Amino acid sequence: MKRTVAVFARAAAASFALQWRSLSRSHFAAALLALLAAVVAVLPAQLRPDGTAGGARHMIAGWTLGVTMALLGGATLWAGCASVPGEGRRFAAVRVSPARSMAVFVGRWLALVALSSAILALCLCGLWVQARVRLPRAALETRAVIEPAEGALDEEAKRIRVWAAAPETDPAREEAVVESIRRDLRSDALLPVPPGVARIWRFAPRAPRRDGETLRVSFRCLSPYGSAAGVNGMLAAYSATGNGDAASPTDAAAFGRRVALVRLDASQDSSSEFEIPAAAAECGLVVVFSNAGLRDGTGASALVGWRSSLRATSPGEGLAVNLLRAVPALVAVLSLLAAVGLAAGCAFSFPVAAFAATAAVAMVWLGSSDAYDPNAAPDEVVHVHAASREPNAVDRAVEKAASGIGGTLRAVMAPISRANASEKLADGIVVGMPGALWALTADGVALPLAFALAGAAALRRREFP
Amino acid sequence: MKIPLFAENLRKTYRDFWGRPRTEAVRGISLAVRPGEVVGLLGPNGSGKSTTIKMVLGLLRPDGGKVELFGLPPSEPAARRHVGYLPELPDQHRFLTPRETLAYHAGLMGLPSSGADARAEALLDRVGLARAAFDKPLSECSKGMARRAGLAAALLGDPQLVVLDEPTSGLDPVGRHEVKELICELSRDGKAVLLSSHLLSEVQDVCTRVAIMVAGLVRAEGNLSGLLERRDAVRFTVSGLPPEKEADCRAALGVASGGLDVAVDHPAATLEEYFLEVLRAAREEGGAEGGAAAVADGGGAR
Ligand SMILES: Nc1ncnc2c1ncn2[C@@H]1O[C@H](COP(=O)(O)OP(=O)(O)O)[C@@H](O)[C@H]1O
Ligand SMILES: [Mg+2]
Repeated sequence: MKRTVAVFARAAAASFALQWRSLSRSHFAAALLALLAAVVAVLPAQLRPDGTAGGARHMIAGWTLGVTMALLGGATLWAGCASVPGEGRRFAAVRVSPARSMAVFVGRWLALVALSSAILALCLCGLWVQARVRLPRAALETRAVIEPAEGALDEEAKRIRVWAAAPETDPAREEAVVESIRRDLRSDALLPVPPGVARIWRFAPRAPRRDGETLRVSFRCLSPYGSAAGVNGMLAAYSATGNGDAASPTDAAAFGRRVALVRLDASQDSSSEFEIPAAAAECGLVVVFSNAGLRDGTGASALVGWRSSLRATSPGEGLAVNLLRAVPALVAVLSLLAAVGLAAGCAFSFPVAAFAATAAVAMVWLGSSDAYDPNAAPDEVVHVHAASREPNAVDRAVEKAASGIGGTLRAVMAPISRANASEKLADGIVVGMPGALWALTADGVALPLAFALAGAAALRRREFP
Repeated sequence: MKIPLFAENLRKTYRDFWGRPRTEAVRGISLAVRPGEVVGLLGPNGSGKSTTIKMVLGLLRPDGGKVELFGLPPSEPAARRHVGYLPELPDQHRFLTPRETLAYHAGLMGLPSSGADARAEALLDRVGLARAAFDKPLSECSKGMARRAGLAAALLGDPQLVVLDEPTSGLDPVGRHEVKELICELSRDGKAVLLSSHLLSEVQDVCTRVAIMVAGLVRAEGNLSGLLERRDAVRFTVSGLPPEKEADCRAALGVASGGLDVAVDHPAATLEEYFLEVLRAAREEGGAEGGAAAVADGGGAR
């Protein structure tokens, strides 16, 4: 047993060394490095930010990092595709050796990951230097998002249900209706808040991290026409003292001591931001948005998302630390691409492998760009039939397969899309470490090992004429 | 111990992308190589030698027949543990040095890394690679030097079965001689060797057994001495015969030569003569052009 492991490790190490040398001694790595250096050096100077600190950060941490990742990811994918086919007949020696296909795959994959991660590290250093030089201090700051308390969403779903319509008599149906509201909240759907109604976010008690820390609450909503203007309302924050389950939003005393009150004016853009001392949240925090309607008592609903409309944040550690926190999630992407490319190269010749892998990755990328939520409502199936024809069994089977594949892909890509490192870096939001590490474990290690199994099987089946 | 290499009735047809047959490269070949034996596959270019070797090593799946390496199918890693293989050119990574090439192959074989460098140097010396070339990338080495590095890689881990596909191609006369010596050494050490070649002198010098392949079939097979012996001719060797007696002797062939020592044997053809003869017979019989049989348009191939 011990011997088997040692033999496996030696074969993997030999494959690692070969792949590393083949890439680092070819002009490929040098050319890629030069290209990325040019991107990091030149792109931030070329992009025209909108003048705000956040806009400048978007250009450097968003755009430049995005272009870098696209180039590096593409190169990693293609280097993987080229690995086995590029060796041509030389690969015969590997097949004749007693090395396990799995060891060969794992060694080469690790080499690809190591090399592209090293290049990524250099790029991130370059980005950080660019950010230090080009960004105002405010843009270097990061903020950590504070999630609403456990159960807050559930309470809100029940509250929405109460004013929405009379309850169903059948308890099962009633529960189904509440559940659908919960799903809408979770998936961040924009739900209407009619005049005279409020939306309430409750946050768990949170001790200040250091003296004088402030929390920032940002809010934005949309008018029913999708525009930012046209909503009159009030945004208030309460330092919780009571139990906070007031049934009526007007019963403000039940929330505790009010620590902030902001008026949203229909003529402005329905967004607002204020800061409160972190100490105010020591026993919990309640934030209430109420739609005031128009002065004459009429008015339109405001469209409010559970997560996208209200964001409570605390200060983070700054851009450098945030870049480091993003590394596991970014490496997970590169690792997955390396494994996909390598597996394709194990099965096909280079042009076929490169085409198939690129097309597959592009489709998954486009398809999973919406953050995945396992509890979100299933995708609506769009029927594209001639109006005269009912869907037949084949249509239904195709739809079922398509939504099954889509759902599986989204589920599989969920760790990466939930870590959402690139977007958070661009927004100046702290990248959550557990999420980033989970992305690395699930999509950067476990999933590539599944591709390794497939690639090794393809390799064993392949002929080398 | 199980017989190192056993193959029975191997067949292989190369097919195009759509699975239509293109070339019937091997049409039923049986082969066995035992310890201490050097078996030569001899044949013109395109006769299916390399195809046979690749099937034997599991690089190609035979369309029919059976292969066993040490009693196991070649798909088993354990079967390949004691096999050394020198492929046809090109066989090495150009960006590696000979030393790195050996380290790479040693890793693939799972050999321990302790003493690996000394082992590599000894092997590179053994195949006659100049010390100065040990740390030069193969892209800067000559074809012959690269071939020697490949040969050293094939001998890593003391394989019991060594398969060499045209081992001397790309080598200079000195190199050829050294490789021949090496093969003889291997067989003295009890290793089984299978080599392919179209160079007759090479095969004649080292092989204990040859199989002459023409168009994917073995046309003649056996011990070298047995193959080359001319059963239809007898040779008398009379030592110490005075020139004036020669005419008498010739006149009275079979009559006592006056107590002189008379040896009788069958004269041997050179391998070259024999090879050409086999080839001629094959051509007359099948009209095959030396190389593999191209599949006629019955298969739909264009
Ligand atoms: N990869 C291949 N695809 C199609 N035909 C091939 C391939 N390799 C060899 N052949 C054909 O098979 C026949 C035997 O080839 P090969 O075994 O390489 O001969 P040898 O090694 O004896 O010179 C030749 O006619 C050759 O054209
Ligand atoms: Mg050949």
